Amino acid sequence: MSVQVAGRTLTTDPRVALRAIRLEVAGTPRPLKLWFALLTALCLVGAVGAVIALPPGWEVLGTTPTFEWGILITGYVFFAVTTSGLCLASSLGTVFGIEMFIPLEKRHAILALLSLVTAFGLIALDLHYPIRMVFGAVLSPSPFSPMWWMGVFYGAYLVFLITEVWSMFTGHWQVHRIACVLSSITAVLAPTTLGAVFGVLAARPYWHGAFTPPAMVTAAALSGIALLGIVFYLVHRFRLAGWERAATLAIPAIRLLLTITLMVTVLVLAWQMMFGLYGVVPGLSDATGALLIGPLALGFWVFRVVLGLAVPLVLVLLPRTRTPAGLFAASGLAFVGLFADRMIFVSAGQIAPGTAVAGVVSSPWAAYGPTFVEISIIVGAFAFFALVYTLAERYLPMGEHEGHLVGAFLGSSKPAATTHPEAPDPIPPAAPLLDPAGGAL
Amino acid sequence: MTRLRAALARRRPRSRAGVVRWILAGGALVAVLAVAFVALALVVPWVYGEYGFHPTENARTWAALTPRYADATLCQRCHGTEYAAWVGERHATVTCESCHGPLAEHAATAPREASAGSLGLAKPSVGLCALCHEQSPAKPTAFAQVDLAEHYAGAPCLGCHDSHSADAVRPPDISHSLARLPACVTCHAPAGLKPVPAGHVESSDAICQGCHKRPTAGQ
Amino acid sequence: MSETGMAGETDDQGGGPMSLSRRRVLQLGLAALPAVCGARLVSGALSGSDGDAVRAAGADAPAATYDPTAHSWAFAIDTTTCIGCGRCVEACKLENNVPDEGKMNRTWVELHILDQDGSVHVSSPEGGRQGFPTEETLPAAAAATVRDAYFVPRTCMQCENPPCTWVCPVSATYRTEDGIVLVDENRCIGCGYCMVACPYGARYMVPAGGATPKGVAGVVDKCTFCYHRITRGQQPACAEVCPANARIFGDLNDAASPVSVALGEKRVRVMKPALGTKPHVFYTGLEGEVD
Repeated sequence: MSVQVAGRTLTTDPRVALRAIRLEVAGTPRPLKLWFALLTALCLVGAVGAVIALPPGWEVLGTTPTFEWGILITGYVFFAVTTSGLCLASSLGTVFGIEMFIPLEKRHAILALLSLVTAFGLIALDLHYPIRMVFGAVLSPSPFSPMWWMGVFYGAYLVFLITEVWSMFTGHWQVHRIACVLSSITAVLAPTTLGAVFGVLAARPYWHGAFTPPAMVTAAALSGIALLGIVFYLVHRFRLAGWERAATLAIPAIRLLLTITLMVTVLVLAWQMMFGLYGVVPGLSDATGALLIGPLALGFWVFRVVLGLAVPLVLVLLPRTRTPAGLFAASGLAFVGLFADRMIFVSAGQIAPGTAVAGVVSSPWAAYGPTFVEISIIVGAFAFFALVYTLAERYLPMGEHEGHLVGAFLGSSKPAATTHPEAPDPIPPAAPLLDPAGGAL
Repeated sequence: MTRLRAALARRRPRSRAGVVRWILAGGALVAVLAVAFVALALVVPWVYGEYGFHPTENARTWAALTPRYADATLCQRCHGTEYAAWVGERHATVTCESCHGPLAEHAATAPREASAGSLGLAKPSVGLCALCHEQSPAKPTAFAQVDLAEHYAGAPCLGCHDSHSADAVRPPDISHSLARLPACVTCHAPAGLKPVPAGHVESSDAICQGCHKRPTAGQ
Repeated sequence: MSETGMAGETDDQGGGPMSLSRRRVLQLGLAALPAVCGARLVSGALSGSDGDAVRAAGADAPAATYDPTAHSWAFAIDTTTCIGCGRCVEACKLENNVPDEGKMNRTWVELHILDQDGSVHVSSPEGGRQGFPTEETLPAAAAATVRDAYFVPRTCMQCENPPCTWVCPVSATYRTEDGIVLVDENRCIGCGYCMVACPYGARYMVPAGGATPKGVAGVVDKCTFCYHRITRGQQPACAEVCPANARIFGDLNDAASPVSVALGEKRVRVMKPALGTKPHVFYTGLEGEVD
């Protein structure tokens, strides 16, 4: 008995499967084996934390009535915006048909699906009754609740992503086109609903405001593009499937997007800080003060501003560092900086002493420290993400596919150059501005 | 356009039966989900009515919980003496359960003797009286409060004050506080006036002398 | 290979890339149904119960005679008479099975100290349950710089426009027609959105392993104005035991009720009026710095 997946035949006979797995493990190169072993160990640590966090009401998280949303919510927000940003960035290739973004097409879908699954896993661990959420959202919906809309949009996004990935590997290009368009639209709408979850709360002046949803989309773009930068450097470095066009087209494309997004993020952040300091608005100026000179200042200045924005900007702008390795460094730092940014965002909204809370007076600041269970869950989430993506990169055909021959939805009807997924590109890169070494834009 | 057609033609041809299978599979899944959700919708109470749009049944369950605190009129039925001492006096705003804890179960249990163990508090302590009567700048100045370090420090409150009427029956009911009068009260408080010891000298404390011209024998 | 048949023991039915026979699909579907129903049972089981099961209905349950549309419950809190004894916090904890933790309270008392230089210090040790021992909260040495100090009892405001009910994704928290905001412990998923949405910090998450108001942990709980008492004509437990007449409870629809009389006599205000929540707890005697 066998199952055909993505052009390969997989057996379901346990003995044969086990032997095949053993052979495969033996045949893996040693550095990769170490990588898998490390990730598996971290996943197990995360699994232990997850099991401990499952029973409802056990006080294993560091959250308090004053500070209910902690690092698990941060992790969820982070992975949810990453998945949206991936489709946002890749929509330029899949929907608009711009040549230089075409190499992103297959990998972004896998990364986005993985990221969304990880996000749902994290939120399921934070909710005390996740199964009730599924039924409750359908049987007793609340259209006034931004969180309900967030669930609807991310649920739809999951469906579209699954369709996109499935149709990509099974060659249903018409379905794939439509799925790409739908997931790109949802990739813009879903982070706005996530921002609205925070933005509608008048009780939390730091989060409150109509600008929070677009700011969340900006964060999504930065996170997704940074992740693509990391992945495509690795594609180039380890000569993975489709690496030639990845190196010549994808890396400059990602650098372009990263530069733009970093600049936009710097502007957004600067204005947020200035609005927070203008006048003395109760709650808002306290929170901004906490960011700039208070308990969150270390994380803000070191991880968010310097490592997360300033250094990456320098790396993508200076001619000397406009190399694939430079892009990798910039993307990696921006990725870490964005996790710190989401953590700071979630913390700043709750840290200011807006009021005494149920007997715990948050004065001067509400305190929160992640417990071991929470940290192990976050570490396990990242390890799970990396592990499954490494497996996908190793065992699934990840080169460019034929789908774009069908013509991008909104782009030109001219088919693109490549006819074979793995062959080198017979036609040189289109735009004369592009430097094969991944140089100037 | 021919390259497009060629690319479309290169896709693996699907058989009609295969398509039908997929449609049936999808339909079966949708049917299963629909049946499941309908079954659950029937199981989950879905009643609207007198309590408004949202879960009526749940509001009823909140209203159906059992109260644990009763009220003073219930205590009067058995504890008439204490009630008579309490009602209309200075502690009248302090209900029985404010000091004695929740008593609805005690009042409802028969025989009463058996339920004595369910009393939250039989005899208040200095700590309990101090919750209200310890002096603090945050309390209203008209409220009866004392500095515990100076008001018969170490003495049990109930040595002088009746807990229900709040009257201090001993020492004699005089109009002024006996606090901060060390010369007299070292001997004459808190357990009641002591017998005059031999060789007692009149106190030179002018405040005491205002009323007590001669040392008085113990009561 | 056969295109249409499913007969025979071989499961390779040909067709598309992931070929599954009709029989296999039906098997999976039938397996899914009990799984789906089992999930409901599991979630019901996960809603859990500890030693405190749901208390049985009292003999004089309100049921037939209580008309929620006829009432509009409210509190008038007089901070000029509150003495910070904490009996209300104790009574609430005992009446409603509130967890013992100091930071999990349905109602609590704060001590506000205003200094001569204008700074405000707020403290609430264990919610005020053991009172406010003077030497710890307002020692004599510090009293010299104090301009004013007073106690503020706090509770859920039972807002007319409650932000908490708007944001619940599964409609688990709701406002009854007599003005009380309640939480359906069978629907609550424990996301905590209502907790961060409440401007007054009135909600907390029920922990497992101790007292729980309705035998369910991992859901959100809050003051209900002792809904089981007011529907029987009694007062909330906190108002019942207050020795200082600081908590005046009643029905706004009844002009003779204590709260209506108090609102007519005193100058009152609510907390955070700018948020438009329209609370049903009215305060007398607050200084400007309070919320």
